[in-house]
Amino acid sequence: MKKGKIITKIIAVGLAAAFTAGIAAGCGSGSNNVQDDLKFDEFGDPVFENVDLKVWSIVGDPDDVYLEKVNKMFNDYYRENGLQAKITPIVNGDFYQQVANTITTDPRNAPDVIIIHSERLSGLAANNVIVPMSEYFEAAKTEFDPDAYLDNVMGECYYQNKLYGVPLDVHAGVWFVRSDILEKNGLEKPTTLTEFVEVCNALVEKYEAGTLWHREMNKTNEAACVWTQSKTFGDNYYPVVMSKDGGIEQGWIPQTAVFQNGGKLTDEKGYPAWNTKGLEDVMTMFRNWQTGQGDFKGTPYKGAFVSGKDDVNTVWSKLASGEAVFSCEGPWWIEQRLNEYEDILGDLPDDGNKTYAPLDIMNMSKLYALDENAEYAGEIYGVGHCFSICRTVTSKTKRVAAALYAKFMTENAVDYMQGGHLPACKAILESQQYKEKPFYDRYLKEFGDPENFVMLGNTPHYSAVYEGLKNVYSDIFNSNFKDRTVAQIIKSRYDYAVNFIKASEGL
Amino acid sequence: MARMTTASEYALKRSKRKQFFKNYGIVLLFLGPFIFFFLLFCVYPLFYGIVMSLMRYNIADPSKNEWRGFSYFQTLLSNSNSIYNTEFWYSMKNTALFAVILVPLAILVPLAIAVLVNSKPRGYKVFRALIYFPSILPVSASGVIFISLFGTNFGYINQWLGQTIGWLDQTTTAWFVIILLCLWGGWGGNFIILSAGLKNVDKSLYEAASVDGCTGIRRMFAVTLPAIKPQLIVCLFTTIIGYFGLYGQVYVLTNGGPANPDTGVGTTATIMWYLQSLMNSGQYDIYGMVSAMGLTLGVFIGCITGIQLFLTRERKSGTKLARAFAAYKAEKAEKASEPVPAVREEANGNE
Repeated sequence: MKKGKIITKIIAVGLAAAFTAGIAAGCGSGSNNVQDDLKFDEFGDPVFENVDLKVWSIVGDPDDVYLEKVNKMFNDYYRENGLQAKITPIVNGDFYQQVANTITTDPRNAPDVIIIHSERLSGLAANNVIVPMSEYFEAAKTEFDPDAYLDNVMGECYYQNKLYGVPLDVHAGVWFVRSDILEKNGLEKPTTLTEFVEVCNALVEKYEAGTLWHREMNKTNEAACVWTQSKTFGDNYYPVVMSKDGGIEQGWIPQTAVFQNGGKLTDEKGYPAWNTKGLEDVMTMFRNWQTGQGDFKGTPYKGAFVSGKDDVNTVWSKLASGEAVFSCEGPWWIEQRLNEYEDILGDLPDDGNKTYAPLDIMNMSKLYALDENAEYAGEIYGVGHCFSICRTVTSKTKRVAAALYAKFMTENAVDYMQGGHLPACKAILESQQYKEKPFYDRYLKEFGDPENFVMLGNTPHYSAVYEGLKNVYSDIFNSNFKDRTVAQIIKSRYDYAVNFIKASEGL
Repeated sequence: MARMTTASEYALKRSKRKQFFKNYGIVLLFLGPFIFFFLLFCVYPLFYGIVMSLMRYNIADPSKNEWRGFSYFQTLLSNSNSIYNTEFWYSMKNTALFAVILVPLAILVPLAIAVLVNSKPRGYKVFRALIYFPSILPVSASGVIFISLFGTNFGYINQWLGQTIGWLDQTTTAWFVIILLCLWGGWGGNFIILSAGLKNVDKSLYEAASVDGCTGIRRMFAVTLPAIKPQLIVCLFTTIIGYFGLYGQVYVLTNGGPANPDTGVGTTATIMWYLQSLMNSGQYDIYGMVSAMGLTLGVFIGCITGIQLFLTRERKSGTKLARAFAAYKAEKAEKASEPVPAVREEANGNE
């Protein structure tokens, strides 16, 4: 036989093997078989022997530290029972992809429990990534009472009437306010949209007249932290930073605007329902804030409030320079920012030897409600975290352990709230321990009533619904779309979201 | 009962085995690892991808996989009502336009630099190193450099100009920055190939051209370019194929944006960026469609490569020129009434 023939044979065999393996790989299985290995002791409690729970968490820096505190409590409590948990934060943006990939291709290294955004729960449940939990509470002979949690966050933990998650918290983006600048200029923190516009008008007017007091928060240059009335920021002064590409602005403002004007984000089919008149009106208002044209309820704007060119890089820098008084960010940065501003500016007096609290926060309640007296005007779009069990947990003992873990963590999460979250568990909300924590008075109280937080709604089409609305917000700030009306922008994004869902359903 | 093997049969088999390894052992030793990894990392994924493209493939739950036959290809090729069809071709169009603009630049600019460096000016070795330097930077690093240059609020260019131009927010300027990054970061590879080609051009050809009165430009077109044609073809192939896979530069600089409200993909979305964004969209059953798109792209690139191969093939003239030359000489000799030596066809090569 010639050499060429041998090589041809080898390659042919290899190709055939690769083809067969390719077909075999395409026809995998996603087994949910659970091994009934649960044992009970003489008191009827489940027995855990060296059960180690692998927990993957979407909660990252800086609040993962606080979550770990609660996890440590769990480990201490269950150490003698042979049950431990280890949390790994996965915060690189591919969390949900990584979970799906790992449980399919590498189940041995897959997590047992995942801490996810509760709005993603329906999608994960629909794709069999996570499993219903009720039976494991029953197996553990532990009562799980959904009424012990806030209805709004608990509602997102169900898919097709089955419990798939235990809610941990609810949170929302907040406005950071340069309270020192407001106070020095004789202004107050606004609580409604009308007041917000009034304050911004006053700030713009004062700046143009050269009478606006402002100061910088500068770590390295104390001289810059002195109060001044100069027109340092050029001809155009913008009291509000609204980043066109910031995840917090996109991720909370348009959603809250929909709720505060009587709309909802999803319909009963889980399709987007945010294409409302209220959204259009608020987005039109944001457009006017960029130009300074138009009026708010008959009062003309004194100038532009936002530059329209802000991005994620200017969110903090403009607040620190004193150019902006309002800037939107995630609640998890509150503690660090308050500390930073107070350390640098807190004790610096003005000429009259008066000191000012340099930074404050305000929640979004009534800030986008065109009718501030409407019953829904105080609603805020909320996002929660919850615990779920992955389908790759094939041991019933481990599933029971995971259910107990979820319950323990959510019922004892007081310390976790330090990271800027409100508890989903009513017992924590009402507890003295929670209310006596320094961070409660310092900032959690400012977040508003968690009962007023409204969630996305159960939809397996998270991306289309949520991203579509985020894009509406970005488009409003996009100079490429100046020629398009707000109504046109909303319509094109809504149509796209619906088409996207239909296309994915037709796959 | 099993038949007993005789000693002679055993010896024959053994000697055959020995002979086999004697003959092919070296071949297997050297080729084996390559074949193994080639099958594992190229052929197996290819077949896997083909299988996936025929299925509704769910990465979260393989038990939900369902055969779809060629329906995804049909959608991509004929169903313009599907967003997958429109976005795929939109991204393909972006990529093709980008390639049409960049590929000539990515060859001509390094060629010009290579010609200059090949003339060996003072310090040419330093120039050579500096010119190649951008190519050793990872795309993420060079992307960050470009963001620092072209950022809206803190970019150096805007600071120098005293403007707040949204370089990466406008379609035209965003493409300009991407092309600039690709050109700057990618010219090193072509520069090295073309420099090597230029070094190997036979110097006697230049001397002969000079004797014939060729000027610099004429020498370039008559001698240099034909002499480095193989290198130019290599550059052309690798550049076109490479830039059809454009991803990193777009991801770092614009992430596909600026937005296009009529589609889900931005105006600088290339086909690779689009495929990647679909895979990261959180839609677990999109992988079959993505595989179909990948294979369609592969066929498309294959077609372009085929056309290139056809256009750049070695043209063979046979004995036509030799015969024409012989006829010319004969005619000349006849005119001069001198005896003409016979020209043998085979002496001129039998191509």
